[in-house]
Amino acid sequence: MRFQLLTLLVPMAIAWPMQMVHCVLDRGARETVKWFGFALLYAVIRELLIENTAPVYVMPVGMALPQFIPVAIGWTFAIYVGEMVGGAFTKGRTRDKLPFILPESMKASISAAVVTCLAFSMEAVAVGAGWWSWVPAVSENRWMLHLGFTEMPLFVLLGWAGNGFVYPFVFDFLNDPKRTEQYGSFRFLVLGLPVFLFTMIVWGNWLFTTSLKGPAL
Amino acid sequence: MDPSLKKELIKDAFGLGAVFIYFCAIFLAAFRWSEKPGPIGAAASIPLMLFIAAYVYKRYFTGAKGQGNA
Repeated sequence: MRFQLLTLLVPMAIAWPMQMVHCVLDRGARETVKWFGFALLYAVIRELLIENTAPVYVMPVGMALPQFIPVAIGWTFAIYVGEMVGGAFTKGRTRDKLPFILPESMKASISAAVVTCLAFSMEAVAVGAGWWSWVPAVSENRWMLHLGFTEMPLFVLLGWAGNGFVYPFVFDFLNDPKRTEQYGSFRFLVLGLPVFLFTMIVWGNWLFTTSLKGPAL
Repeated sequence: MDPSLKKELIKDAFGLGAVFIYFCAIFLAAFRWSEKPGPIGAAASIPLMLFIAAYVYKRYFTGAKGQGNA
């Protein structure tokens, strides 16, 4: 396996299980399985949709794993960092205290901001380190390159922000114990997946095909 | 040491430890593994670092420790 891939996959293989341990200590094993299980499912579906509809990036040839596996784990890692920080800032905030804003949306907004910052830091070095590269069609907007970074397209940051918002929001909204009686035990799978699929198809294709890619600099 | 504080510290050792490993990878990528090594790639980590610092402040310096995130 190429050195560039090891520099990405080895830290990921250490850090991701550490997040799971954190989640177990924080929420218990059952919630951890639920959170990471659905996050991984969400990320795999999202990645396969991208790969098969609008492939915008490629990882180095020579990887033993299918591309969607490390990408999906990376998504899950990023979203959990957002979840962790957002959760710390919204702990104890209930609807009574926030009558006009759903606590889930406040937490998800913070999560989206954190995931966007994480994306910004990662994309700034990813291409230079050989972790992945953007296909020419989407790297026409090289605004980050002009700032001294790499050629990440503008819409990618919005995509990361969308993931940072959508998953924590939908998970918390549907995983709320108060709604258990309403939706039943499979509520998350039954209601969550269509929301994810709809969001990813509409959001992803809209961003990819419109001028939100930004002007070519 | 307060048992609840100890529990929170152990928990965050994993949560923040994972983020620390991430930063290590980013900094190594910026300074060692990149085709054009330089500090500007690492500087892009500053916004995330601010969020992590805010997380630590919120958890340990505002009296919210021991409550968890769930």
